[in-house]
Amino acid sequence: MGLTITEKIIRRAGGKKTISPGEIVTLRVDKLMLNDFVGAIVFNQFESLGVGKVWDPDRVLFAADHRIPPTEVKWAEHLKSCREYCRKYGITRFGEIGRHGICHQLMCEGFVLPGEVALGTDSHATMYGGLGAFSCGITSSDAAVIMATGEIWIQVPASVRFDISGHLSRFVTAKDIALKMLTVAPLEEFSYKAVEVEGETIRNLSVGGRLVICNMIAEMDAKNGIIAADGITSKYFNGEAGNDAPEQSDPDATYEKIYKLNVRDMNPLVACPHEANNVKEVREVRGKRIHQAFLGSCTNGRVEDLQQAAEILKGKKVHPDIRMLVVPASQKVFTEATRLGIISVFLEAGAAVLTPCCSACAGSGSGIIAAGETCISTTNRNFKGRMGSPNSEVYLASAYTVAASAVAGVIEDPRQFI
Amino acid sequence: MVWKCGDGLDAYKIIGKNRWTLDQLDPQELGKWAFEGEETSVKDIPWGFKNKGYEVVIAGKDFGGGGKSIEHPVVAMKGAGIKVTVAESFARYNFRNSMNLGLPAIRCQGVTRIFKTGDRAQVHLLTGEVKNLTTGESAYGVPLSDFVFELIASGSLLEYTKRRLKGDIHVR
Repeated sequence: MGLTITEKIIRRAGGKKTISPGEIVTLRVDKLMLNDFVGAIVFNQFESLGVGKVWDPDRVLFAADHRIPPTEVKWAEHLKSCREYCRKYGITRFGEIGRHGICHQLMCEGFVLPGEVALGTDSHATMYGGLGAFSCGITSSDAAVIMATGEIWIQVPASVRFDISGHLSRFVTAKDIALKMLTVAPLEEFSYKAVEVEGETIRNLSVGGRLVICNMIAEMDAKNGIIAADGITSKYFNGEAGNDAPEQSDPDATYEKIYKLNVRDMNPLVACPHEANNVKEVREVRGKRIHQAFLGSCTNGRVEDLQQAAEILKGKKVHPDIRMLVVPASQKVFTEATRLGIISVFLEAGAAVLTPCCSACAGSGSGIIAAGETCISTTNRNFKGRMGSPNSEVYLASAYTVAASAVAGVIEDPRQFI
Repeated sequence: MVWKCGDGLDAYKIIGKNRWTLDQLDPQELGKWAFEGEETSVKDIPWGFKNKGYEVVIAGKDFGGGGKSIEHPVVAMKGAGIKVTVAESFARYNFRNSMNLGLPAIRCQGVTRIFKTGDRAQVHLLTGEVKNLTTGESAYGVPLSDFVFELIASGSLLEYTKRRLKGDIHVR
């Protein structure tokens, strides 16, 4: 009987002849991400196991992204200890400030390869599934055990599939697809599932767009999100992808449910406060006053996203009543965007451009908002208080929609700028 | 004794962001502030929740949600004296953390219909029966699998791994 791509990766990494949903399997891990969010906790737990060395330090990447550059002594101390631990255990992939980036972005800049088991100590690790890897967020105990043994126990998830067809209209993006996906069923239907995304729209989607979709699948409480690698993925790796024949699902693989979505007539969407699946068309909420526009995060902080925003902002100004923050997802992104002249567009428009980091996304970095304020952002969560005050509001949208709103000073449909 | 809550009680209500420790997961430090986000009578009162004597949490859907990949909520519950949690459904991180940190978690549809805070409960981990000793009614949930039982019996994933590394347990 056929297997889904998730099941195939698990079968290989688990050294099994056959597997089925519900089984407990021990997997060999290919890549592990740690960051400054729970880094010190991971190292403490790892040391308590008493093995003395990390199973394969070259398979570990440490990113400083949540609290950098440190603004309190306790965070400076925390980062210092992480730096020292990495040195002690030979983890050389340390995203030091200046060569840094958001953890998930760094993982997708040539480290994670299609077909791998790539896990990270942050929930949006599901993003690496856009490269065709089996990826999910893990917590510190699991990371500590991986560091000691190279292995993790998992329960094989049942797979569901989205078949997405139709050509995306101008100004409608992968972020809009991701928001639409959150509305096709009650989210509890996706809990613990392997969410596979397929279809002609996906086969024509850039790797950047695939990363957005798999990033947002974390909001479904799914185990993982995955898009099979193909020629577009190979090109992303300059034809140097690790596996010769990337995993594909068998034609007779079993899915618990298949969701069909045609995006031909889809309009720009926005997730309204206070839930990611409280999705409406942007034109339904046009005119809502905003105080901050945020462009960045692991979800939409890549060159492609900055380009979309710059398309709208070129020659225009951020509305005088609001502020706009632009946070490229990594130094590589920042450098490339600078080279392309995109950063100048933001500066001339009157936006603030920050160093790559999680920033306001998780409510603990730069740019959090006050009571009574509304932010429209390209981030991934909008529960009450996510970006600051418990009495603030966050709308989630694409880079185009955020840029259009930044110019208008209110939530605005990007198609107004055609 | 049971403490019951409704649907959607997220991780932040179990232990607030301002209480998260950065270097260690200390059940003493975190247990002090368990559930102050929901049980407002204990807000800012150290050990407020634990002192009420609850040992079983009965929750509605999506218990411990919010998507945050942290272990603090389960450590806080253990520190506050919770011995087992039963829910209509668990958010994924909360469920896995419960297994990895040795706090038995039983999925049990319909359980919220037969309990209220203050009732006494008996939870059979290997059969999945959740009995209300105060009213005599029972609900039937998903028992712990063999592997999860081993994890919990070891105390935690870390303790289980130590035993594996010493050769006390053989996997597969």
